[in-house]
Amino acid sequence: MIAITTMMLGITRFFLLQHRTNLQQEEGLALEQNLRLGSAMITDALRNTRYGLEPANPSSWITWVPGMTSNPNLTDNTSPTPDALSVAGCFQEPVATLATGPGAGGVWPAGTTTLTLTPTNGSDLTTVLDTTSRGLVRIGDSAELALLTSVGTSSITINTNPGGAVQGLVTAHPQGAEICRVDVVTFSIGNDPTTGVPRLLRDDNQGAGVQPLAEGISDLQITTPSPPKQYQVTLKGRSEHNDPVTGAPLQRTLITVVSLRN
Amino acid sequence: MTSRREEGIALVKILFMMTILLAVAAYASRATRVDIRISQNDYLGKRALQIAEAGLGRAWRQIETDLTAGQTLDQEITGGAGFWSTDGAGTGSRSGYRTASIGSGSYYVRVENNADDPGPSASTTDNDKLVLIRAIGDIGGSERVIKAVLEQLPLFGNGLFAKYGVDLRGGGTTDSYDSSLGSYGGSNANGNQGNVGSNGDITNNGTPTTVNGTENAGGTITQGSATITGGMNPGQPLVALPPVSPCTSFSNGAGITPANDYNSNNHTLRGNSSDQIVLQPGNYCFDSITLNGNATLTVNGAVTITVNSTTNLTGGGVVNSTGDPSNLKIYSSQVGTGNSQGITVNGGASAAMLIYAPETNITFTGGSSIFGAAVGGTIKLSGGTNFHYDTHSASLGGAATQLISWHEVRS
Repeated sequence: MIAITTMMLGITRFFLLQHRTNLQQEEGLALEQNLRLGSAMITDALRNTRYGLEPANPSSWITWVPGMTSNPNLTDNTSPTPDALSVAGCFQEPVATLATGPGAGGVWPAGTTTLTLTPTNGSDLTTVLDTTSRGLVRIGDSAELALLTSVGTSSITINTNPGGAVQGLVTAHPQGAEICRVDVVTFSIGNDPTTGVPRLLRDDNQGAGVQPLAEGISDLQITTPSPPKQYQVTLKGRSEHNDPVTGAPLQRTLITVVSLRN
Repeated sequence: MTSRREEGIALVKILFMMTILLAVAAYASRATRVDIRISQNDYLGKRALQIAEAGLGRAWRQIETDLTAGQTLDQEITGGAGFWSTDGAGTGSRSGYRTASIGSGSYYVRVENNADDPGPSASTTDNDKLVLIRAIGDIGGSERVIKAVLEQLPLFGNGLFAKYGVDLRGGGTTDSYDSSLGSYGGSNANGNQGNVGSNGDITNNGTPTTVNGTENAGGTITQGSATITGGMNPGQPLVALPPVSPCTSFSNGAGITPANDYNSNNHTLRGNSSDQIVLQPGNYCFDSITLNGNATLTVNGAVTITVNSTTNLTGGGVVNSTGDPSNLKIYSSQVGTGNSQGITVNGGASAAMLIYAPETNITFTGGSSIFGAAVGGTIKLSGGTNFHYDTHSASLGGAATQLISWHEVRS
């Protein structure tokens, strides 16, 4: 009986130790998954940035995100104060294509301010475009940008001269030219207001505010080791619960180097 | 002694322990399986993107290879180039596509005309030197899609461009005009696009040269006393200059007068004294060309010459009676920048031509004027020769390309 009890105690102690180790590994794995997810989201956005919006003078086009003076736009802080990063580009499939234009062969001539479109998803343009935070489009492959001054169910009115007199298309575009919406995505770090756990946040800058992307990420630092194309993204994570073995939160760091493609 | 009431307690305890063990093992196993699946999905997603990138890269290189071999973007977008299969799914009616396996994954890559092509018959004709490449990477049920726009760079995007270095001396001038508007002169002269470029260095030596344009170099620029109206830009990105393959189907003498100035045994074209060599419109392959004395070389229509070794177009010079530089294209496959190698050209009132010799020397000399554009291994403008860049020659696409946009398609 004594032998069995001793053995049981030993086994119990062993299982408790194993359980703590298992919990530690679980915490570590969860943290690493979150870091990978966060890093993938940021690096994917960086790879696609500038598609649809050249880096020069973006603030004249992007009026709904204050301080968007470059693309990517980095709010550079010294660790442990996290950086914030905003990137702009066409991140989604084109929202529409140009319908048949009034010119020969269906071309939309330079100077045109009202364009008729064929929505890609077959629905109303007003569900994907507006005159504020969804009001900048790229027309065709020639990177012509236009601000929307009005949006109808199948037509838009544009201004290609931000800050100045209204101007229509700078160059002619054929029927079928793709219209894609330029979005701005901002990545930052913030604490969960309830638990206080730090997390990576994403803001699509379309009115919904910041949305949590990955839990446990406590720091975001971005450097440009080989400017202007190469960015190094450093994410630091801290586990939500204390490590049952050491009694302190687990810490992990993930460093990714990404080259801009545009 | 064990009492009867204690009999079987060990079995109960062992069964209890076994149950706990099994529960722990099942929990650990489930958690591990979930972790593995998350990691696997992440891994497959990244692999799919890399495979799509491989497809894009393969298509890009194939297009450059095809262009180097003389094919066109029209052939690429219609599936007419050898690498591609004809597809009905692209912009307009046709496009080229290709599939290939990579490990346990595969890519599908398609090249088609960009939707924004402004010209006529955009489904089968490229009018803006832009094509769209769509690459889909697929592995283990994970799929990523990327789209990129590829631009065909002009073969003659500058007046003078050299792979290794440019030497300007002798008090000459570069400027620009547009041959599509007529001959050089009047308002169609003295333009400010007489640009000079190099992947290496640019040196302005001796008697000051005037460059009505910019100087762009991958290396350094030595201004000397030269006037460069558009400014100097050292440290620029390098420009791809595809090589010229040696021609092997040498001319048989047809279209060449006088006939005895061409030696069909050693494939050399040689004019002596006051010979007036005339080439009828067409394509010619020579080993070399030499003009001695006051001999001239005249073309009256579209002529393309490929030469494999040293070429001397001094003597009485070149007469392009059409005045259009694109009617006399000279390609040199010679490799080497030694003193006796390359192409030497005398200026003249009708010396209009386009020269592409990316691995050897081009020397312009003798004063007077040259009209057109030149790409060489090295380029030397000397003797007070004035070089008038024909901006219309930039419409001729070369074999070099660049990606001007890239993005991953997200639905």
